[in-house]
Amino acid sequence: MRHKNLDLLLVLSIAVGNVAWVLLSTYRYPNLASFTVISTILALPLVFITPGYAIIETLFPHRALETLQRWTFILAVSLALAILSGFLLNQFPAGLRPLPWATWLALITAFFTLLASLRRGSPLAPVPPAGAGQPRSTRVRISEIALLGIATLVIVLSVVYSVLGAQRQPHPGFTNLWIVPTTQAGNTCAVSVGMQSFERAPLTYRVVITTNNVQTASWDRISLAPDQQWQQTKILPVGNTVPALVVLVQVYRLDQPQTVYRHVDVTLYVTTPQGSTVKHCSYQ
Amino acid sequence: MQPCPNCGNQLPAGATFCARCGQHLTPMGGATPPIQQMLSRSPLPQPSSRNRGGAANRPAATVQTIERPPRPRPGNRAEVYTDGSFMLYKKTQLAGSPATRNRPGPVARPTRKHRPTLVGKLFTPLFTHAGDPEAEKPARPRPQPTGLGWLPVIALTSALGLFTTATAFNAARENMPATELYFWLGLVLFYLPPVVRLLLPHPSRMERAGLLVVLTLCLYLTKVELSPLYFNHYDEMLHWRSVNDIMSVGHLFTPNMLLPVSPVYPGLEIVTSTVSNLSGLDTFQSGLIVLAMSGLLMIFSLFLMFELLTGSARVASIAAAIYMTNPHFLTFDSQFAYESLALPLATFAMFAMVRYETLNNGRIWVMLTAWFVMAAMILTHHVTNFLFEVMFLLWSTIYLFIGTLPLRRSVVVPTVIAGFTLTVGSILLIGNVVITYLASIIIDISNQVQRALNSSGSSSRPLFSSVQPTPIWDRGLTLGAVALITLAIPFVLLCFWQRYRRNPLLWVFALFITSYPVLQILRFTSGGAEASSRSSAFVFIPVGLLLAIAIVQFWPVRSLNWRKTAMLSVAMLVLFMGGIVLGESAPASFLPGPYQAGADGRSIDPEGIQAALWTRQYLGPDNYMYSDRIGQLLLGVYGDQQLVTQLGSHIEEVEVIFDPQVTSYEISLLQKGRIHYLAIDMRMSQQLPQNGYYIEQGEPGTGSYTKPLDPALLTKFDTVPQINRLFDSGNIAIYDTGVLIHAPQKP
Repeated sequence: MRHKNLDLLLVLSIAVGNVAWVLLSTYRYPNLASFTVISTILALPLVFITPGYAIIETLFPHRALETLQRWTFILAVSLALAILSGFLLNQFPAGLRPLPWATWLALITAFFTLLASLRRGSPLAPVPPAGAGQPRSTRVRISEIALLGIATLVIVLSVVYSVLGAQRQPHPGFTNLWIVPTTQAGNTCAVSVGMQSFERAPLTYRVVITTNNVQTASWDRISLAPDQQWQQTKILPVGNTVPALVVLVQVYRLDQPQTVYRHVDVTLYVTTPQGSTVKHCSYQ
Repeated sequence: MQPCPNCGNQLPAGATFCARCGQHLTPMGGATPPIQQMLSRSPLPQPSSRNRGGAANRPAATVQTIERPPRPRPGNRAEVYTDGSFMLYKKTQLAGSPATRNRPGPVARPTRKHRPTLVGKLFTPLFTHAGDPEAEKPARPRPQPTGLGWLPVIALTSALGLFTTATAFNAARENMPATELYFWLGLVLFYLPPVVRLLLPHPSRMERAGLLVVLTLCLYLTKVELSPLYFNHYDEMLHWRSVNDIMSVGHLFTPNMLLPVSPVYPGLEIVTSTVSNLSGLDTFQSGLIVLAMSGLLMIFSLFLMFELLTGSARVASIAAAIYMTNPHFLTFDSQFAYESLALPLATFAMFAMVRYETLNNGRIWVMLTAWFVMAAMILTHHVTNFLFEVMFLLWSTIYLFIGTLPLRRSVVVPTVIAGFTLTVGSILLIGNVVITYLASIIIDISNQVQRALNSSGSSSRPLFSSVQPTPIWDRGLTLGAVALITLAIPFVLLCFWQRYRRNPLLWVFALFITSYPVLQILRFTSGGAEASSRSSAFVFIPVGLLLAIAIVQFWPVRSLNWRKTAMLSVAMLVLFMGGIVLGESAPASFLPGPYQAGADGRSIDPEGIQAALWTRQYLGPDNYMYSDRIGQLLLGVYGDQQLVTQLGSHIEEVEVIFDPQVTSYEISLLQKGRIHYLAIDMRMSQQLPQNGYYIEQGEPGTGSYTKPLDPALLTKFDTVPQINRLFDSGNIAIYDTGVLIHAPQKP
């Protein structure tokens, strides 16, 4: 390529770089996937700029479009190409995965980059008169750049500030309590009981399990820090005559011992299949 | 040189109007604007019909000046024509300014049809200004502006405005007072300075484009600051679920019960999943990037299209700034929903078509590009597609009559044909999901409008929310914004008629702008209010351009001073702030803060999110569940569950919650919807719903709740032995109804 095609070379490099990065991070070095800064820097131009740039440079060589119009065309064509490509890739078994995407967009970019370079070199391509449709060059002063830089910094800080504010937004604390039947081998029923604290401070709880109104288990002091979880599997004895086990779990806070803080319940059905003496515990 | 026939001002040869009084001149020097002739009727006692007819037929009438006209005011003078009619001249007109006092006096018009009358005096300046072809011409020639101008300084003030809004949001999160004031202050800081600058004639095109970018980004980032950790608008969550499906399955068209039409219009989801796949960013971050790009495409397309239509970067930039005052620009048009991407694509297609019609180079490729982008738009959002098809159809119809190019050289008609072909083809491929979806919405709105017009009152709604009181100044801003636009419409249409009536697309815009008052009436119905709000993104394209044209025509550059600039800036600020209240309700209702029931973003809190995450971990994905409006979203997005909704399953399930007991009827409903789990939020019994309903629009009490739900309605499931209470977080309980739905169905 000649010197005048440096922009096309850059576009092509971005496309090839994306394919290489996806190949390496998918098949060779999976740890690379955690370097999202690099993959983002590579991916954003591939989605929003390079295919559109190559296509627009092919259709409108020699800067036939004024600068603002050209970049608007590039963005629109890139977005449209991504949308329509999605329908195309959906037809293939590989689907809309990183490698098909990178390969397809890179192929499109490479194809139109080649065409664009050919059209640029074509003697038939119309060459507009010098300066036609182009804005006059403007010299940006250092003070202006500095002000724009400060403005950008303030904008970034504003967003970061709001992110921090949202993360630290006070919410009322709560505790999750749950009960889930679990499959147990043999002549037993079992439930898994769990609790997770999202309170704003450590709390101590008392947990009581009753089966058919009979207390079958209890834990008197369970201390949970915020985000800490507690889980137990409780095996329940199956009686000979009881067709169902109603399991009730109640949680009390030690600072409010008389009030049920959380409660969950589940009914387990005890059945004996025909021709068998082994009892089965079914949930539904 | 020639004298102005109205004020006597000396004008250069060939002048088309008087710079002093605005009088239009014919090439021969006479004042004969046709529209002025129509209005130039004497309000004073009319002469006999014989004389009137005679005067009209005479080529030139003799003018007689008398000392005492019939009833002149002191100092005025009357000129009486030979046919008995006369004309009053004001003292000021006779005396003039010191500079003009010695100039020749007013020249009586040679024929009666040119006499200014009272009506004429009232309307002549309007017509003069509206048709002024040199409204943008400065009083003194100035060098062509270049460079960034005030852009860096204004970018800094806008950034400070953005920081102020961030402060307001963080203070609101801490439930501190006066956050609304900071919010408005931030908005004023980043909207007002660019608008003032755009109104001035000095900035270069580059500076104008830069100011629009700054404004667009600041508005977009304000929306991001509202919820910087996750999407929190209702529609955003619906599309978030569709992206998650594409990411997990790797293919399109996975059914989405929250919004069944979303998977068949996956444009936004495709682009977002592409960014996410290639960059490794999560759906939220990828979506934010896509939306930022869409916003830039929208504003550049608008600016460039308006510039081509008017030939003025100033008009185009003012029009784009007015477009940003549309009630949904701040949040709805930048939310993660298909319209946010389809609208920029459609606007770009229209811009490309305008460019084809206007400029000569590369036209065939411009046309193909427009079609390519239009095809993507058609596969991205149905309503945007249909509305733009209607717009293009109107454009082509008008083009047939007043087209500037021969039909065979125009892009309009082929584009309409291509658009309709692609639309019909896509609907045939997709199926009738979209038809059913849109038909249900249209029927619902028309029924509500009909009921509201019949004064049954059941479907009418107050303009301002009764749950969250709207402060009086917010109400004033809203009404002021609507009134400003509505009252401006006649003047806007006058400018259109005087200046742009040869442009077919401007005809379409003029027709669309007349729908604005009608759309405001729809706000008095609950369904129509949403339609009215959603239409603003489309209607404001013509509103923005035609208002900008009117501003430029009635406040021409040569007479623009700081007072007029300030007045116009304040008017645009009222449009902007009023639009926000109109679209989003009072800021107090959408600023971040403590939990509120039925309030979309304010209803999303860690407790709901953790409950949804628990379902995915302990119950597995894709269980059929039923919950309130917000529970549906959270369980669908964070829990990967299948939510039973009226929209998705066409079964009304609200009785399951609203009936006082669980009887065989409620069980049959559960069985119909195959609802395996119920997620019940007890806060429905503690707070009124901000949106007017808890579960689905149309539930008993929609929009008319005076007290929260009875707690017994929500705890009744505890009393049914076959229903298991598996999860309890204090406010949220998850019930397992599997035993009931697996029981034999009753007829």
